[in-house]
Amino acid sequence: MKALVIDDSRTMRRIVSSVLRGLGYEVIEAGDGQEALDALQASDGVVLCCIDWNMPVMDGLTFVTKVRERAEWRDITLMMVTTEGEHGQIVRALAAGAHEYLIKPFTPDALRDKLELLGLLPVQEVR
Amino acid sequence: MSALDTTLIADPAQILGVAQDVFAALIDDGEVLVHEGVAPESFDVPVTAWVDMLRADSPHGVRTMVRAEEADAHLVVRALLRMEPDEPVGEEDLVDAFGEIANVVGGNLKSLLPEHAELTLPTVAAEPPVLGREMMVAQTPLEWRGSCFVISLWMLV
Repeated sequence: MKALVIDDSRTMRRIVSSVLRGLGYEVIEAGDGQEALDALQASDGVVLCCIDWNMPVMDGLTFVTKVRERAEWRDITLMMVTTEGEHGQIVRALAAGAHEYLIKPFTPDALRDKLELLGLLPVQEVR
Repeated sequence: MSALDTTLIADPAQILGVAQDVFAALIDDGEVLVHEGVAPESFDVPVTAWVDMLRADSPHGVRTMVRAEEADAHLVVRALLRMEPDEPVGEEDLVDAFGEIANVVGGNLKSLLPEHAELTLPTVAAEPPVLGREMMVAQTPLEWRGSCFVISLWMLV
């Protein structure tokens, strides 16, 4: 299973990617929404995007909207991973097409639990 | 337009709680930050990371600032990036990781504001810019593994 981690912070990309790799994912990374769109275009088989909200060039909400405009990407699961914890922001993201929402800071277990909820744990990781 | 209402986030206990959550989740897996009581007046070689909470329709905003000695900032960056204790911390890692701490602390404090504000991207420098009309509304010194970190909130007017 392949995941795309989108965050302008290399530190946060490293943390999220490390958890996903530990769960058995192949991970690719992007530093903003535009880079992520380019990565999706160039890479087959992405099933999950973990998306920061506040990024330069293109923010996470715009990225979600643009992915949802493309029929060929409709099966990709979009999970916001962000410090934006206001209820109104969560509603905006879900309305735009995000499936799940994880607020930073998070523990590896919290990310794993979200993936389990989404049915996106690689087979050997399902409890 | 009126200033953002910082009543909830200007509470030192609230700031401590947010910082503890951030360190516990991202760095320590449970290690607790201890409130030192008094913030140092200055740092010898400071590193400062900050994010602003801004409203589109108002010149007012709130800045969350995290300050530390550079050597202590290196300690937290090593822990965050799972580096070896003696591994040198490059400027790029320092700016990215210390900035992300300010981002996560500031973002969590922003969610406690009674109204919506946009969060800016983090900035890291030795000293923050002097705006001339900013006013400190809260300051919380924290201790982590013997190092002092100061989180402060500033009203930007």
